[in-house]
Formats: sequence, structure tokens, C-alpha cells
Amino acid sequence: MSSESECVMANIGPNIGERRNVIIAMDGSDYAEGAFKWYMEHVHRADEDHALLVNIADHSHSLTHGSAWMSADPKLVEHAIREEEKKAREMEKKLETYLVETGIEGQVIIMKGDPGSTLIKLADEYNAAYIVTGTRGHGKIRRTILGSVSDYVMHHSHVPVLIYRQ
Amino acid sequence: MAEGGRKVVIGVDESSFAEEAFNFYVGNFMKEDDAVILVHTPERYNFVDANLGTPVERPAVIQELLNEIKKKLQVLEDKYQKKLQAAGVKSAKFVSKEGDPGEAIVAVAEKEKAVLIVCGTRGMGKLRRTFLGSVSDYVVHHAHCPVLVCRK
Repeated sequence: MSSESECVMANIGPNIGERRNVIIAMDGSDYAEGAFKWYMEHVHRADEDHALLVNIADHSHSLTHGSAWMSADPKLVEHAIREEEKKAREMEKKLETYLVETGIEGQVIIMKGDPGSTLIKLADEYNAAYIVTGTRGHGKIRRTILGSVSDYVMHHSHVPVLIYRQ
Repeated sequence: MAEGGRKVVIGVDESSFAEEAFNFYVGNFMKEDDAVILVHTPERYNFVDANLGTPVERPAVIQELLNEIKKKLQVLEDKYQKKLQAAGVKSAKFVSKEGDPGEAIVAVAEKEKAVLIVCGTRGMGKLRRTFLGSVSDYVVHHAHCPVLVCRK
């Protein structure tokens, strides 16, 4: 499965230096917010951590506006893309306020692509100490106890994963 | 800052995976006032085999196996006692529970109202039932608190 990820980074914190990179998966859901709060209360080490608040927008659904029977209306696709980019910018602002309000050292990373594999890739790239994720996120269909992204991350991560619940 | 006395449950066995999970917790998650509860499920021997296929019971063999289990448990406890001291853990408890390791860990965490469960992804289990350890899988799906799954 290819994941073409475009990276738009808003660098908030100072140089990463010797700090420990921690990846916190944030999809804007209540679970993600809960996970971040729990991380802040129970794990965050102010003098050691560099928190990477990561939002990955999965656009795979919007690439199927066209079909074999009817080609996609370019205006529709354009509109969809603009909507998603708007959402990404809103997400970026929201995550930036988390950093500002808590005053912690970190940065916001906004990406597009398959969330699970992108998180793993980021963890490798940034040599993350561990990944923080909720049990689930925005998913509308609650088929399982563990959401598909968290499940994927848990099974494929090369570093420890903190799975936040409740 | 969180108040002192958080209860943290760590599933341990003789494997190096458990050691790594413990080390990771100490190095990255531990807080000064944490109360660490190590949960261990002794491996059960098949006592039917001890009878060597005959209808006659062999109490001596069974006794030997029971002693072996007790000895292994002591070795494990000693090992972790040293690690706990070296880590500067102020409050620690060792719980040995019969049955399925995953269920034991979750049960203890619930009873103790643990704030966090720490476990490795693989252990000593004789049966490699799944690619991801069955214990960590069970714990993640049934725990009532956050779970730190340690893998390398």
C-alpha cells in the first residue's frame, strides 16, 4: 500500500538536541485528546521530552470520486481537496494551541497518508522513544475494541507503544 | 504533577522481554512514588505426563516438579528484587497468580486500581500461538487502564 505523504511542518519548539522524541498520534478525536492529557499528567518529562503531535489525514477515500462508469467531476475533486486542506490547517492550529497552552517542548506534524504506516515511519525517522495512541479515534463503525490504526501500530511498531484508554 | 503512589502493574516472566519492559518503564515512565506490582504466572506443568502414561500415580515426580516451580519462582523474585532496588523503587509487591497470564495481569490491575500496565510483547510461553504475544494482546483488549506494550 503506497502512502504518498506530504509533510507540512510547523516548528514550534526549539532545537531537538538531546531530547527524547515522543510521538503522540492526534486525530482530533476525544480519545486522542484524552491520550495527550494522560501523557501530560503521567508521563511527560519536561526536561527530557520533545513531543511530536502528529496528525495524519487519510485521503484515500477522496481519491475515488471517479469510477469506471463515470469520470470524476474535477470541480468535486478540487472541492474535496480544498476541504481537506482546510481541515488540516484547522488541525494544525488546534495542535499548536495544545503546545502553547501546556508550554511543553514539541512540534506539530501534519501529514497525509495511511495513518498506521506513517506513524511507524515517523517513529523510525525521528528515532522516537515510544508512541502514544488511544484505543480508537474518529472511526464511525465500532467493530472492535481496538481501532484499526492503534491495532496496526501495536503490531508493527519498532518501539514501545502506550495504548491509552478511558 | 500527579499525586504520589501510582500503582503500576508489570507482567513478568523469566524472559529477557520482560526485563526489557521493566527497564523501559524505569527509564521512561517511572515516577518517584510509584508502587510497582509485578505479576507472574508460573508455568504449569502437565501433571498427567508426570504419571508417565500409567494409572499409578507417582507422587515423587509430582513433588519434584512442584519444587522446581517453587525454585524458579524464587529465582525470578530475587532477580526482580535486585532490579527494583537498583531502580530505586520505593514500594514494590510480587504477585504470583495461577491461570492465564493475561487474565492474571488484568485482574490484578483491576483489583489494585492500577494507573498503568506494562508488558512485553513476547515471553517464555511454550506455545507461540500468535505473532504478537498472546498475553500482551489479551491485556490490551481487556485492560481498564492504559497499557504500555514494550517491543524492540
